[in-house]
Amino acid sequence: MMRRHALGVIAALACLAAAPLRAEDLAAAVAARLTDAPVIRGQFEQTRRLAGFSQPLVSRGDFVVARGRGVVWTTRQPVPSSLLVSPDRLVVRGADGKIQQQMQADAQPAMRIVGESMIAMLRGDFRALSSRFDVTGKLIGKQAWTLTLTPTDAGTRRVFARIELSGDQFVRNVKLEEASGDSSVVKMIDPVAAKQLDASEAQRFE
Amino acid sequence: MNDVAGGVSMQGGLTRRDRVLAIAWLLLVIALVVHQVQFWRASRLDTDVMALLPTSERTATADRVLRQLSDGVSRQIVVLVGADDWADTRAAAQRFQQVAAQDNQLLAPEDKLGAFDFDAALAFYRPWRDRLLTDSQRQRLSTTSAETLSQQALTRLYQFSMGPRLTEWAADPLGLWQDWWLERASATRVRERDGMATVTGDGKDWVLLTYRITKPAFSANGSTDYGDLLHRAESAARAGDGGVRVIAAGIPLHTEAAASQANWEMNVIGAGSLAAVLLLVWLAFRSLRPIVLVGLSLLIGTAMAISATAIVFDRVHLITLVFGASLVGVAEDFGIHYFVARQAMPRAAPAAVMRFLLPGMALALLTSVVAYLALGIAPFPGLRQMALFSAVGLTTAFLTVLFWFPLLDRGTPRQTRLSNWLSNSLARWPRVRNDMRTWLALGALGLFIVSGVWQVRVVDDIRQLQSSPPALMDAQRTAGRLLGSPSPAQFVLVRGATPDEVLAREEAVKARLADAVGQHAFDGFVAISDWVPSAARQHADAALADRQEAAVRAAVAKALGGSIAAPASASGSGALTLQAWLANPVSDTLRHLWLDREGSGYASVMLLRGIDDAAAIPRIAAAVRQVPGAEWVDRVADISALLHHYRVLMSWMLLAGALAVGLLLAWRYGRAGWRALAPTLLAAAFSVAVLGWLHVPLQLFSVLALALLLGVGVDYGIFLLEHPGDGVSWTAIVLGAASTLLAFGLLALSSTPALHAFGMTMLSGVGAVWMLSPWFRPDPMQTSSQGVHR
Repeated sequence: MMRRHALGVIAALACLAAAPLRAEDLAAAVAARLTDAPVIRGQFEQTRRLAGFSQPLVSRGDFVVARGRGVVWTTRQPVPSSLLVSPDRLVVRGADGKIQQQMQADAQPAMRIVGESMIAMLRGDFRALSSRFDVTGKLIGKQAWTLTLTPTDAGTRRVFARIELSGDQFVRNVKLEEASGDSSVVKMIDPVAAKQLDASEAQRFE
Repeated sequence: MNDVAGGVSMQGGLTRRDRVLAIAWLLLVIALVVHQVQFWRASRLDTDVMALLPTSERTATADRVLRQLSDGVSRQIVVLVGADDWADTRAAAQRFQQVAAQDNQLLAPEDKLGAFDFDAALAFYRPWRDRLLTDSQRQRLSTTSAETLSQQALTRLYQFSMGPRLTEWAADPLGLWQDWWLERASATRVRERDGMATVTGDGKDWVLLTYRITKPAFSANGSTDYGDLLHRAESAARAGDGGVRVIAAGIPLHTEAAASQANWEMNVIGAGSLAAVLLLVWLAFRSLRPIVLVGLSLLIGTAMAISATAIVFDRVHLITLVFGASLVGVAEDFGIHYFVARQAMPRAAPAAVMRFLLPGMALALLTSVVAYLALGIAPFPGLRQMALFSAVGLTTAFLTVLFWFPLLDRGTPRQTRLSNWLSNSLARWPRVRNDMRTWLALGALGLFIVSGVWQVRVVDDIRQLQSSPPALMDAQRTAGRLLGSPSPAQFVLVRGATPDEVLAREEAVKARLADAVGQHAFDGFVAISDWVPSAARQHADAALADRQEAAVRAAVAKALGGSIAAPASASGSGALTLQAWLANPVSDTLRHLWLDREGSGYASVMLLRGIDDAAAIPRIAAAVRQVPGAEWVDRVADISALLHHYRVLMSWMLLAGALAVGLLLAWRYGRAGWRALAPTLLAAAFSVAVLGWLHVPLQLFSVLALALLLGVGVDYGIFLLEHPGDGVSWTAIVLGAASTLLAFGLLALSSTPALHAFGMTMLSGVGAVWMLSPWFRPDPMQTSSQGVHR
């Protein structure tokens, strides 16, 4: 009887530790757990499930997130390409390095929102996201956390239906559910914090 | 005081015929009063500058287009609030909105963003997605191989997924539709940000606020409610932040400003002239009766002029009223002349005095009316209104004097010091003689005139008629530039036998001007064919896109090693038709570009965005003209050409008119007739010289003023010839000229450039005629002209 009672108390305590917090506190708490480094780099594996496709699309590559500069997302397998998302533009380059698509944020403010959201997601800057998303989630243990973001305005809702994030001192998993029914799961593999970009990376941000 | 009549008996009272005419006139005046009451209650006044301009068969379509384009925005006020920083801009915009919302009776906010239902638009266009290609997409699809396209599609699939997907992948494997929507969105510079409509430009971020007016902007008492409210809101927005700028533009603001300006000018010019005239009458006659009677003749004259204009033209334009306010200074001539004559012949009966004056006054009236009617030669409705107004006003004042003054005038007129002094001054005035002094004076005058005329520059511009304050015009231009609004004054009119032919021709125009766009002569078009391609193009694009997309789908499926479900929605059967598009709410913002039936076929309008450089226009016009069925319309250039044409025409008519007047004078006065004509001709040249010296440009209205000067100025010479050496006539002339000068001098205060030029020309012209007429007067000792009373 006593043991069951004790178990109940422990369970309750455990639940408390994992209890969902209020949004601002949650975002702050998660931010506290994340490493706030100027540069984060690592590898990724992305699995996309598109409606109507019998097979999922799996791609692998590496990424670099730099504070104030943006994100460079380089896919290496199976089709090489690179994507630069910065606060004022978006550039897609093909395998040969030639630009396939380019968009300026001041000409297309809608793209700016998506780009900013993406950068914020990968850097773990949830305060920036909370203006456009409802943030719910919980803290797990001493280091881990999970978050669910639901868009609040119509424009963002046209792109994302829901975003689920989890990680500890780095963001490790991102699950994007798009409004069209497609979903992507991105796993960050071996993320590493650094003080600054090396020469080749800096060039890719140009 | 000379007793001009000398030994001739000036007795004789009113005949029966006089009484009958007087009563008939009374009945007419009563009818007039009734009509006036009706008119001012209905207030059929015009403020639109376009109403002054002529229309013709050729321009009827263009005018219909302009009216259609402006109808949509005639009740809209657009406000741009900008600051260097987005956060500052948003805060300032919110402050502005708060103050503007305080007076709900005036401005109703319009939500332009919410009005566009993107989801409904997506649903409407989706069946025809494969036919809607941009020019660059068409180029890419036709020149790139299927393998390259498949590779690009695969790359995108494996990239980080982001961006809104408008349909499932299989339906649009190359992601074409998103770019098509982006190109459609680029037709306007307005974007959505944080729920507000914004524009970027001039180094600032701007918020666009749209308002609809709830009560008419035109107010008869000249109050500027909308202007005041916007001003208060602007102060609130700028409170505490020096970098905030507010720009307000819209047709209601112009209407309000025009009405307020015209109201002020009418009051100043009309009341000012009236007060000046009555003061002169008082000084000259020192009695109440002349003031009342002269005032009465002016009032009836003005009222009759307004009624006649309203009856003939159905609406009276504000510019006519402002111009007509100066009529007061000319119409009083008859009344004053009568009283001056009465003063000189105190023992003669009023009716006899009237008969004595009649020939001279009638001739003076004739020349003035003909001069005013000459204004109406040019087919400008505005000028015709002014001509009719003035002619009727003058004639009515004359008839009032003729029929009523003998009846109503009683008692002995008083002699006044002013009248005595004036009539004696004539004898002291120098006279033209064949001596050195005269030739020196003429030489100096000639020098002044020639050098002045040399400096004159000529301007033929529709902006002469624009009376809006420059700040408002500036704001309008800036707002148009920031918003990238298409220019309403120049557009392309496309005609065709069927609606589809119209669309095909629109596409031809776009193709012809593609490199002009590339060289940044202008930003692009706003046309229906942007949204509804012609049937032929839809067919070709569908074939191209379907072929390439099928190949890409197959290649990607093979590369992935699985299968891809076929797209769920089948393409729409047939083409997207114009009828279907016009019937759907998606066409709300562009429906006014479709003119539907025009003549024997159909027509539509293409607007041009972002023409910043006026020098590019001739090239664009030439390119447009090469496309069959397309017409380049530039109303601004049309009007300027028209103004130029009539300025030249009126100049020749002026010379013909001077000749005609010369012949008329010769008929009545024989060889002495030149004495009446010469001062006027010299005065006309003098006033042109003054324009040159003052750097006021010469335009059509200056030439019209010269025509008027001819008619009015000759009157003074006629009176001096009619009654040579007669100080009485001279008094009448001085008083008349003084009031005319005052009236037209006040007209020169008008802010409408045309009226200002008119007033300036008349001012210097009448002043010169006044000085020169007595100089040229005949020697009373040598008078031998026929038909002159003695």
